[in-house]
Amino acid sequence: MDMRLKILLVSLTLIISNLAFAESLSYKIDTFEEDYDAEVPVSGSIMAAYLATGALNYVATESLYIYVVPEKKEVNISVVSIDGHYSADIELTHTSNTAGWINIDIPSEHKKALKKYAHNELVAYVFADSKDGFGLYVQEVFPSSWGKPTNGQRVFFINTSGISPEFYYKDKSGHTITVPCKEIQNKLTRAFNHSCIYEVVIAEKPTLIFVNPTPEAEGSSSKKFLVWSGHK
Amino acid sequence: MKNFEEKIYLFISAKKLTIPISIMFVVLVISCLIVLYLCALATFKKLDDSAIYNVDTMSEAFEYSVISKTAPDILLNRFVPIKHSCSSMENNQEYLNGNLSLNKGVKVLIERKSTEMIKLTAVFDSQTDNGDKKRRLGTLINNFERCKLYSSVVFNIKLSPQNPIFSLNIIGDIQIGRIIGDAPDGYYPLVQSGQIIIQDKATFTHSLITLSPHLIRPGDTVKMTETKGIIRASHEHSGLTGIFQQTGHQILLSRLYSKTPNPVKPSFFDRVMSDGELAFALSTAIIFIQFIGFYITILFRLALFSSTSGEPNELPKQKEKHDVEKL
Repeated sequence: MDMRLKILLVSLTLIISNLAFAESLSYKIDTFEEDYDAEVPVSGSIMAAYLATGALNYVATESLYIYVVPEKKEVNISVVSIDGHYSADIELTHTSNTAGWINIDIPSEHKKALKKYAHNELVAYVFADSKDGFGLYVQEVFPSSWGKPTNGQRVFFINTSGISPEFYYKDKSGHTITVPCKEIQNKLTRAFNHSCIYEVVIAEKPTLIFVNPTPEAEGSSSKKFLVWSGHK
Repeated sequence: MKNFEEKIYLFISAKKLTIPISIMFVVLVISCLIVLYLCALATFKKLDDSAIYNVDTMSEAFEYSVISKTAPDILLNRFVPIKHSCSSMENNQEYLNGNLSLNKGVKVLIERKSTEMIKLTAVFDSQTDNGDKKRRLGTLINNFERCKLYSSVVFNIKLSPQNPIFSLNIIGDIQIGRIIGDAPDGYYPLVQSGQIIIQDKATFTHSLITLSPHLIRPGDTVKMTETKGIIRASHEHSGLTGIFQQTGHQILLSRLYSKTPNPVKPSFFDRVMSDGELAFALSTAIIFIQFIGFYITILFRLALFSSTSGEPNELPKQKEKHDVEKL
């Protein structure tokens, strides 16, 4: 092979690998606010987090992976600890042109303090504003993980006053599937107190799910979310 | 028997009673010092960071300052926006539900006189307002959008048989009631009633004790710091109900028209009566002082008796001599 052709091939390979590396850092943090206070606990919202199984079983703020889609460039991340001592809100814009996972480095001033949390004790809720088929507001929810995601389990963490929350969705054949959530056995459930295992694996589009925190209550209402599975 | 009496008389002499009396005096002084120490402890013991203040009150107004970035969201059902910056909502129209989250440094006034609508006003706290126009007050999620709020907002919440309850969880600084002035532009909301119950640690074992409640009277104002609690209103009852808990710091109570607020703390008698351990120690020490005092008096009397009757070991002999002479 001609020497010049070899150089050209090597250069192209380097450029492509650089582009791939740039793709993994293709985001810009627009706003970042955080609060860490061991004395003043905070609360999570109904849907406190949506987590995929990651390579790490502890929190590493430089290794938060989130799933993004090109249709939603502006993404919000709410990070909250189970004891309510830490919370952070991030607004970011990504430039990824394909659906996939990107690595986020949370610019926290409390990196050391956050390492004490297990992967399911400090969790992230990643969402983008959207509309449903009726033009009503709904949040598109993306999975996140600490460390590179595996194809393992997806789980919602919710914060509710109800004792038997559940979520439901329609499967491919149009049947409604109801999934109960489980109470988290942890003394420090200030920010979220139930976990719900999500097993839908549709990759190309989000699934409309309804979370009903208090199905036992008369006239209880559900909150809807468009959930991406993040599976390949 | 005679030997026994002789032995007693030998013991009861002014010289031999000096040492026991001196020892008893020292014990008496120590006991008095212990009583003084316990009294000082009851009088001057301050409420520390472990003191828990529980407040339950009925009031027409609460001022709540958000001190944490992620304070609990406020669930709004059947609300009427009066002032806001959301494009999806029109003023004075009723909306079914919304979710309001407020940022750190925002002050919220929740007001309800009689059984009228609840008025919720959120503004930047003047102490933290730096004039930054990009600063966000909070976010409102309704059925149509997620709306970012940049300036003050006012919402009215309607209670009805279909929507009988409004409840708001708070984490932050709270003021119960408003400081009453003479402004003629409106009617001041009043605190109606309430009580402050302090739980502190016992003096010796540090177990939890409950001190006597402090009553909140109509027109008073109470300021609490880093408080957790719930504010609730119901369709059938007037005003608002608040239950709060604060750990450490202090609670400031302003009586109606008083110039300065005073910290809520227990009095001497309150602490002694509430702290069983302290009361037991104090009463035991006082009884012990009485016993020592009685013992010293007895010793003094014996010493006095022995000194007036001559040498005690000579007494039986003198008596015998006197009897022989009579015969």
